[in-house]
Amino acid sequence: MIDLGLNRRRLLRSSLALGGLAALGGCAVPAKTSSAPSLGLDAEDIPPKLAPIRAHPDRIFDIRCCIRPFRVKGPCLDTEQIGDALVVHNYGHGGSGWSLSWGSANVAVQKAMSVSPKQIAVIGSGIIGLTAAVTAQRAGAQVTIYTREMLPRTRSVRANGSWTPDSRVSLTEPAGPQFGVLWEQMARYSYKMFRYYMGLPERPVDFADQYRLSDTPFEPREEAADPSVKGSYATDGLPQQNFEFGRYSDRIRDLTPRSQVLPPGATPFPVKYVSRSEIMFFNFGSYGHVLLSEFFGAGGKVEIREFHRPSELSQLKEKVVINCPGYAARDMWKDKYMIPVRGQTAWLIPQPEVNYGLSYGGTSMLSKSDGIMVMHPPGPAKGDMVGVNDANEVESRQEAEDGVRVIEKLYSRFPTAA
Amino acid sequence: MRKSVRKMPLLLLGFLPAGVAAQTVTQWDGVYTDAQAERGSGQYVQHCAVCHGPALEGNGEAPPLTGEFIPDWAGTTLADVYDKVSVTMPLNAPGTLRPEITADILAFILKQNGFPAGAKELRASSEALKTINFTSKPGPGPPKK
Repeated sequence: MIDLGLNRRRLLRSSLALGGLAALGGCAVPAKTSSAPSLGLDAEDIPPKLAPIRAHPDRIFDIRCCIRPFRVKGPCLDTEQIGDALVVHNYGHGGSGWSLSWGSANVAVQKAMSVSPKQIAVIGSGIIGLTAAVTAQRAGAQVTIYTREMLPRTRSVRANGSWTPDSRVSLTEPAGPQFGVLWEQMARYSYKMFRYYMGLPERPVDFADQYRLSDTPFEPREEAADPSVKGSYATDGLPQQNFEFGRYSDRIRDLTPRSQVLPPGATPFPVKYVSRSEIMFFNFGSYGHVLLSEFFGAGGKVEIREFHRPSELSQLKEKVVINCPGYAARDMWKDKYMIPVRGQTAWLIPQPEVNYGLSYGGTSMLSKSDGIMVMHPPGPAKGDMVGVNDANEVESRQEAEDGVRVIEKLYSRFPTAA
Repeated sequence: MRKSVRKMPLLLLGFLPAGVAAQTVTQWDGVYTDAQAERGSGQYVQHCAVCHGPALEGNGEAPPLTGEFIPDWAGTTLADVYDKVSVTMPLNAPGTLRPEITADILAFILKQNGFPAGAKELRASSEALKTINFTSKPGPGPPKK
C-alpha cells in the first residue's frame, strides 16, 4: 500500500513536470519544459505560472518616502506620569511596525488597563495607534484617537507593509537580551491576530510566494561582524554595520515555512539561483479600511489635533493615554535612542494577475492589491544599513526609476513565449 | 424599641477594630505570600502559560491575566476568580488542578498585577476567599459590578 502510494506520487510528479509545465505555454511566460523532467520537485511544489511585471518607469504612479522610527533599544513601551495623566508609550518600531503592531498594542493596552480607565486616549493613528485603539476597545475602554492625520496619510502607509518583524527593530547590544523575549511575545501575538484578517473581501492580509534571485550562489543569511569596520553604535552613536542590528527571527522559526531552493528551469527567471519562500503582507487600503471600520463600529472617536509638547497630554479629558507618535517621538519626547532610517517605495500600476514578489540584488518587488511595490537601495549601503541616519523625506524619482529598471531588465531577459 | 434596634449595629461597629469586618478586605491588603506566589510561578508555567503567555499577556484568544484582568474582575471576590480557574482551567483538562495549586497560581497572578504580598497565604478554599473583595483601586470601595 505504501509502495503504491509512493509510485503514484512519483508518477504524478513526473507527469505534472512534463505536462504541467508544458501547459504553461498558455501563460505569458512559460518555464522551459526541456528541463522539467529533472526538476526534482514534488508536484505540489512546482511553481505556478508567473505573470511578468510590466516594469517600466512610465508606469510608476506613486513614490512614497518616509523615515522609519528606528529605536536602538527596541520599541519604547515605558510608562510615565504627565500631570495627572498616565502615559503609556508605544513607539519606535523601526521597520517592524506593521508586523509587531498587535503584540505591541497588547503590551501597551494591558499597562493602560491596569488602572482600570473607562476612557483611553490614543495619540496617533498610524498602524501602531490604530491597533492600540482597537485593542483598547476590545479590553472594554472607550477610545478617542487624537491625531494629526488619518491612517492613509500617515508614515505607516509609506512603508513596505510585509511581515518583517525584526527589520531594523533594534540594535542587539543596546536592546539587551531581554528584548528578545518581549519581541517574541509581540511577534507571536501579532501573527495570531493577523489570522483574523485573512480571507476577507479585498484581502486585507494575504500571503504571496516570494522569489529570491541571484546570479551567484546564495550567501548564508547569518552575518558575522566585519572586522574591517571600525567603530560601532557604542563608540559613534550610530550603527556602523549590519551585524549590529537585532536578529530575532530564529525565535519564531516554527511560524513560517522554510525557503526552498528551486532547480534551474523551475521558474522563468533568467538567473542561475532561485529560492522561494512565502511572505505575509498587508494591503494598506483594505486593511486600513477594515481597521477603521472596526474602530468606528465600536464607538471610537477621532479628534484631529497636533501636540507640540508632552505637557499637553495632561489637558486631555482622558487620564490614560497611549502614545503612538512614531518618529515624532524623537523631537517631542527628546528620545535620544531614535535614529532616522530613510526608506522609499515606488508603485507601479496594479497587475492583479501578478501574485508574487521577488528580490534581486538589493532591489525588491511585491505585487499588492493597491499597486506593485518596488524598493531599491539608492547608494552603496546594503541590508539594514540602507538609509541609516538619513532624515531626508523627499521622494527621489531617480531612485524609483533605478529600481524599476532593475526589474525591467530582469523581465527583458525572460525566455520568449513559445 | 424600634430606635434601640436601629442603634445597635452602629454601636457594634464602633467597637470593631479596623479590618476585622470581612467585607473590607481586598486583594490590595496583602492576601498572599511571596513564597506562595513563587510556587504559583512554576505552576503557572506548567498549566497556564501555553495559552495565557509567559508574561500573562494572553494570545489573542486566551485573555491577558494582567491589565484588563483588573477591571474585568473588579466588583467580584477572589472566590469568583478561584472558582473560574477551578472549574474551567486548564483548557485541556478543566477541573483537574488541586485546590492548593489553584490558590498558588492565583497568588502568582496577584503578584504579577502588582498587588502586595502579605504574611498569610491565600487559602485554597472558595468559601474562605469569599471574604476578599476584588477591586480596581485600593480600599474596600463599592463593588463595581
